[in-house]
Amino acid sequence: MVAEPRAPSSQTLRPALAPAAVLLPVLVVLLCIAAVFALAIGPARLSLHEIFGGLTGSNETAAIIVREIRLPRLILSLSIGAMLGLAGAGIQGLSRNPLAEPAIIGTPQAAALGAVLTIYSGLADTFSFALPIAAIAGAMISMVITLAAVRRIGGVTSLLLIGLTLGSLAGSAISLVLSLSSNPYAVTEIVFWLMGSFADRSMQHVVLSLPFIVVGAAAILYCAPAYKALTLGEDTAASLGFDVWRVSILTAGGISLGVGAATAVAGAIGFVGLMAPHLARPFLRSDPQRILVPSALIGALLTTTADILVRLIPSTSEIRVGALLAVIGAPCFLYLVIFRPYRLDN
Amino acid sequence: MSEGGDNDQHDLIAVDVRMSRVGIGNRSILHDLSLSMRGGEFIAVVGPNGSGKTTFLRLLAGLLRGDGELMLNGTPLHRHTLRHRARLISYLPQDTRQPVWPMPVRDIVALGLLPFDADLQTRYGPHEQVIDRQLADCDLTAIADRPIDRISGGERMRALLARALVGGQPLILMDEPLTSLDPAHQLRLMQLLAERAAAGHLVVAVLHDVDLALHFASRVLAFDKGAILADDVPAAIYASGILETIFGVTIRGADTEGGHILAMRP
Repeated sequence: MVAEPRAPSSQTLRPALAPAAVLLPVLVVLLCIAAVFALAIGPARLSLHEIFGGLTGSNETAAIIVREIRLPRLILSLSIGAMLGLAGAGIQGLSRNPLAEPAIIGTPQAAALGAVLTIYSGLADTFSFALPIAAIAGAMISMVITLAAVRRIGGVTSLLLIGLTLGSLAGSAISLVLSLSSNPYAVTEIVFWLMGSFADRSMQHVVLSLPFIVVGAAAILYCAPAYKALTLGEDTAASLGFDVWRVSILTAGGISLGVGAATAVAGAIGFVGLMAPHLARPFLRSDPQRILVPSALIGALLTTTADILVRLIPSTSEIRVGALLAVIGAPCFLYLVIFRPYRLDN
Repeated sequence: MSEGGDNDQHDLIAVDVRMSRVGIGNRSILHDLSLSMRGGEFIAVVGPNGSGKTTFLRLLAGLLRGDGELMLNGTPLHRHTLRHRARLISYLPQDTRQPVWPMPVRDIVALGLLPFDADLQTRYGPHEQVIDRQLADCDLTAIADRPIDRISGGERMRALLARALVGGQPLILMDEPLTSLDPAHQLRLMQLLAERAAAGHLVVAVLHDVDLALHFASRVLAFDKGAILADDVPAAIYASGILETIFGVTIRGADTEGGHILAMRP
């Protein structure tokens, strides 16, 4: 049994490694193509030459379209999609649960509640940045409550249960606001906002959300080796030298900041966080550390592609990107789970 | 990397425990622990269910604290950094849940090297041969590329054992490592652990197989109701009849050409 341990392994392993090596370049190329289409497509179609002219400023009309309208939208769809994919991979790694998604820690719903309250109170109309600021505040408040509560009891399961409870609480509060609202216009606006969209966002939205997203993503990437150690449970991870409590705090904090800020500027975009890690996993031998970056790229690709589709599908008013992602994403994902080698159960 | 298989010093590790009480919340689980353990020993921890064996191992692993002191190489365990502790101690928990992600056996085994290299490559790197050798030691070479969720329970246990052994830490803590192994692999594991002890490592294993424990271990800790009732060499433990008392069974011995064997009867 010990005769030739190396020979069989190196033969069978090379093909298994190949997809992982190709995955990142392929995703980057796809993202670049999607980015070009995202800048080109809209009410006024732009050629490659016009896009370039718009970016450098040599073509003034194109410069307004590209820099003022489509570039902020592209940056938001890329960064928010990446954040959602990364957050999904992080929370699945931390909880060792393939069903977990960023919303499980409650902050997206809390951010949505903050936003809904500004629309309901009319504050969003008087001061345009009241909405994203209130949403970020909502995310922060729910994060502080979650972390303070977990500090008293500890443990990943308690963290997720508290997050889940706060999320349901925020969700019920949104329903309450909707049912109390006497203004049908506000109700419509809230419902549309909740569906999630990248349309009509400016560079100020980018400036407002990007720092939070960068810090949140950094916190999750910092925990990467710990997610790998957690594959064998909390005790084994601790014995391998990882502070599971600190990893829980950093993950929850990172998701709160990043996904909270994403929800604040784009509304509720579900499904990407759940789906992206599952799409990445088979290519990376299910390594919870190595799926992080590909999950982020897949997330960015999903949201950017969806944001191109909403501009291509003819309709009276633009389709909301969050709704489109769920409508197309759910059946596709269902197909993958049922017919592909995703063995969630034994 | 402290790959220690070829080390024959007997002072790789020293553990000294003086604890008046170890508890979780208000519940006291262990009391009056006072013992020293040195590299080179293979210590079998035996005792009925709920007698505090797992808590004792978790205490040694630094996963919980008690009232008193626990010295690792002369320094309190909690003064060692987490990383340093992980390089000194390997711990196999008694966790029957299987890993959730369908990672290949090879990658699972490689997790044991995380304390030495947080960004480890499992192939084509400096660790490849260490991992290959551990896979071979645990008879896993043929299934190294199979996902961990598509192998049998005994094979999975061997993968988890290889994970715990691959780092070569001087203190090896194993909670019921024989669970679901077939007889040949049970004997193989006991030999592996005895070899590690002979090389200067300190092996502390919770075992329920009294025959194997008394045959391979150099020292036996008999736990009952949260205290160490007896701490002696296997022959003395057997002669004292203390195991019959704490387990409430009859232990019969017989001398065969294969050595002294033990069996339990009501």
